[in-house]
Amino acid sequence: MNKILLVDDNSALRGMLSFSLETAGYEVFEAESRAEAILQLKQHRIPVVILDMGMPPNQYTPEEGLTVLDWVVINQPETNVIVLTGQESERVSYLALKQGAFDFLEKPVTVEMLLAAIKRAYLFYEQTSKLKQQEGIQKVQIEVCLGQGVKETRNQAEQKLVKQVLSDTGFNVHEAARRLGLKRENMYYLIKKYDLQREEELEPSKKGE
Amino acid sequence: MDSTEPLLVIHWLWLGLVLIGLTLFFTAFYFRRQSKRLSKALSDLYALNQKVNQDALSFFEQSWPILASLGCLQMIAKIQWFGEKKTLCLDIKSSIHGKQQVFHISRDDMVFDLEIRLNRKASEPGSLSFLVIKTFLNMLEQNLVLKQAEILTSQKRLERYQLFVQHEIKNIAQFVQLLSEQVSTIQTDKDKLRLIDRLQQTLPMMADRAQKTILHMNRSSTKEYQCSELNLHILMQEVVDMFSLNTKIEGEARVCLPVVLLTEAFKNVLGNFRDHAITEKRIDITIEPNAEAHSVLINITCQRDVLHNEIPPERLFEPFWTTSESGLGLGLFLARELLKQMSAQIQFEQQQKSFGFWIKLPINGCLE
Repeated sequence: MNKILLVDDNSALRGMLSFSLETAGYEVFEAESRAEAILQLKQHRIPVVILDMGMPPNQYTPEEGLTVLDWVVINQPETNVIVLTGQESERVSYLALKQGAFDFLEKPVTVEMLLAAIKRAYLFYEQTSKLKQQEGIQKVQIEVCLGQGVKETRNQAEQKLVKQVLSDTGFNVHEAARRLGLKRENMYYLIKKYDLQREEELEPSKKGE
Repeated sequence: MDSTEPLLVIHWLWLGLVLIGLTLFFTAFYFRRQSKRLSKALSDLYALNQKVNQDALSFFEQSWPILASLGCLQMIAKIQWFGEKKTLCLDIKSSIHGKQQVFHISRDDMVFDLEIRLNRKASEPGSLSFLVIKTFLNMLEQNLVLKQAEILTSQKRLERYQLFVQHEIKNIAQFVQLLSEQVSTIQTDKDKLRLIDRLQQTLPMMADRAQKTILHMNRSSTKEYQCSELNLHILMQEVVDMFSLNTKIEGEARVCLPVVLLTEAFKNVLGNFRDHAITEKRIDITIEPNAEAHSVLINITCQRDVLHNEIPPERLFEPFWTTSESGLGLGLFLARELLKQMSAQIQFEQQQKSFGFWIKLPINGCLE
């Protein structure tokens, strides 16, 4: 059964949305906060996420949603995120797409519109997975300012690629080096260069902030 | 050699020492006195600022005696205060000679253009008097910063409130949309039971959130901006009846304006007459259309006792300024802001025996 993660702090709306998606044949996982969403994504491999941007403690700004989006783009780049929000569409859609959202829908939407977006997201997920499996092609999204030279762009691409592969392999340096066709020493060099750390190692410092 | 000569030298020496001692004593006395003066002037300024609750206008108006005692001969202030203008001239009648200094202090809608004439001693940049005057200006600026922060905080609170309502309304609309679609599409009994089961869980939560939103909301923003043709006499009469005011309304005019905004503006203006019980005398309202200017002039005038305290016009439209303990001091500020949105104007006027407002409205209001 196709899995979907539904992230919204409004439990009543989340219940109704999940009912509509279940009726359409999806297996729905629910989360009401940023932390819960990341936990669900770590526990289950979920191809499509429906994400509300405003969640406590920042219900009226896109901060929480953008953090989830950021996590997905780094750790599970093949997952497609559909933003479904009631926040100001012009500004938030810009931020969401800049951060790597797959689609943007403004509340209220019809079930038809929502299902069409999910179908598209699934199609892209399947084709991206196929490309990765059959041809070893990995999608890396980078944001660059033209005119700053290619070094910056190259570093950003290199950093993202290493991060993704490390995340895919559960920070197994040996396996990541093998997948990237690098020597282990080179892999350690890149980890040091970009100051990459296991996510669990990052958590306590983030909490302390 | 004369035997009295060494004695004379000693005398002169003593005299010299006495003179030096006296000079040192008077110098120390002078500086002590100056330092006392400085300390007193600064303490008085701080005490005054505390007494007026760091209110810039009151602080400015009441600090003149302190400044005058320090060599300030004349102070001309051009003040712009939330759209109102006021010129103040404070001076010591005996003399207006001296050196003039110009200062400009401003924050948002609060501007002080000051011309201060100081006596020669006080105008020296290093003098104690000049130091006190600079402190006075800094304190005045600080009071403006505080006022600005107070307004900004309130605006942010209002913005948060708007975002809350917008967020909740969209969620409610989304819920209703999904429910409506499910009700019209599900067919099997099993699905119908599932839906009922889900609604039993979700509807009470949604009803609770909707209730909270309604509590926060008192009007629809889209409706506020809808223009419609209306009779000003009837609208004014409705507001007057709402407040049970003793009023006579003359004249009438038809305009095309956002009725909700206009009613709110009238309520805020006329509400002052009720809330502050300024007078028991009749309020006269005249409505005069001016076809050439495509506008309507509304005059709201009220007679008052001659000895009644003068109302400070520059403060009337200032946010959070009120003479009432229960009031927020936002009524007239909001009235002016609402009227601005329909390209209308409001001014306060007072004579010795009357006071009131005039409101100039466009006949065909287009929102900015």
